[in-house]
Amino acid sequence: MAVIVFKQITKSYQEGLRGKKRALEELSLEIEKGEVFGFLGPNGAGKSTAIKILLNFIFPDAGEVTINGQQVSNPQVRKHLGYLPENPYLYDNLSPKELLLFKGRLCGFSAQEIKKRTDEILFRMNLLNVKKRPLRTFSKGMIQRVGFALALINDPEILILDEPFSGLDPLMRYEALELLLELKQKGKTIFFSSHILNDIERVCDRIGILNHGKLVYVGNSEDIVNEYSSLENAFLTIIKGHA
Amino acid sequence: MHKLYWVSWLTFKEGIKHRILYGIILFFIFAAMTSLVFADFFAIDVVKVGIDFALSATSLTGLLVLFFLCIPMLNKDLDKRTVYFSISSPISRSQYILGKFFGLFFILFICMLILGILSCLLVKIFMTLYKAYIPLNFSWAKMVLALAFNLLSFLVLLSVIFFFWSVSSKGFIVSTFSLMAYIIGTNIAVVKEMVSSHPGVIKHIVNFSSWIFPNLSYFDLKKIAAHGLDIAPSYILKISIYGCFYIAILLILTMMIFKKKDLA
Repeated sequence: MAVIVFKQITKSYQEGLRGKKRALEELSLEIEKGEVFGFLGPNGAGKSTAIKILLNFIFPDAGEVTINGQQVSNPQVRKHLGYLPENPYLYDNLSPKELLLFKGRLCGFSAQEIKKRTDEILFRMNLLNVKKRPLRTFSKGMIQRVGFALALINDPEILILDEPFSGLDPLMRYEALELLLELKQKGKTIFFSSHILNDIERVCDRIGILNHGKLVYVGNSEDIVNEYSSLENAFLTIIKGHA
Repeated sequence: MHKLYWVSWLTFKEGIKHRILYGIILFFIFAAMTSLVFADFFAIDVVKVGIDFALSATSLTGLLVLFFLCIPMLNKDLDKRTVYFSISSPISRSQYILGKFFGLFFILFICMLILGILSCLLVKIFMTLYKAYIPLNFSWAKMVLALAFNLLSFLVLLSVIFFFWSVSSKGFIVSTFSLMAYIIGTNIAVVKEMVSSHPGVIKHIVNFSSWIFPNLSYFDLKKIAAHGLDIAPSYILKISIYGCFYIAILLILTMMIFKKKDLA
């Protein structure tokens, strides 16, 4: 059963006074329940635009996007959704504990449940000892880990991760990858974009390659690796073929 | 309501921890102390001057909170994309707008409460030092009323800020247009009176502006508090309804615009 459906999505941005830049062109894509889908593409290919449309931050010019059969404009679809932006800009004066409380309460969790989950997640993210400290004192990597914690606080069925490993040191990156594999084992649906092809290859069941706003490849990660000997080769060949 | 509460809570918590807020309150304390030093320069009506000064300093400090705390907080949400954090939760954009508004309202309320207490304290000091100059009909109720309507005028201005913020994401534009609205709003009644006898385009422009911009002079009760003048309850009711309607209309417009805004 498809959990996330992009149907003929087109999106353009205003460029200058009269010009328009097309960011996505008739993107159609379905992501199945329990699937880990890697979204690849060079910079400016439209990956973040697709994710922003999925989260209803921006609106498509044409087409529709649904999550669990519901329009993304319905706020309730985000109740069981976790999101990690590429650069999680959060409120500097607040602590991870306060941010997690906010997110958890909005997702319908009780204060006690949130307290328990907060401690568990922050322990996992190695942030338990700084849970009351304001974010302005955190490093970039720590902020990224807070972003991970926020994406997981509501125990989401669907995770949308935009460049989840950016800003993480090698150790944290390894741990984040392990966490993704664990979430995959639990049957979560994960939709993520990344530039780190090794990670995509390791975690994803399927991948999609986007170039100049067009989906130029969708297929099983195993198949593509077998066909092109490595994901890196596949990526370069496909992108150059559609340049 | 539950979701509105949590968005307000987050906004309030973020705002109340801002260092600039403490700087602004310190500015008020400094201004109040300066007024005590210079009080002797006024030969008569020292207490009236003291009341007027306390209320004016409160107005100015409230404006500083609006322009140096509220506007940057709103702009940061769009510039730095902190809005994604709230909007990716199961809340609608209207709930986000209303939650933000109430969060900033509570910050202004707390500020006005602190400034109000400090203002009353300042007036009390003036009254103790210059007993002979206490206005005949002075009442603390009128002082509190003046402070309350000061807060209402800030809320009207906050709704104007929200409106400009929903139209333009650029902080500079929001600040400039809001400041313009404030200047027009505080002077529109005087200008309208001045041009009332002049026929022509200017009169129509001013009349039109008076329908668009909030008439902030309605909420200015400094004179009434300082001189102990009487005020009709019907006037209080009228300006309360005017203020609330203005806020409601601008918030509805803000929600309508924000609902369709690309948060790219």
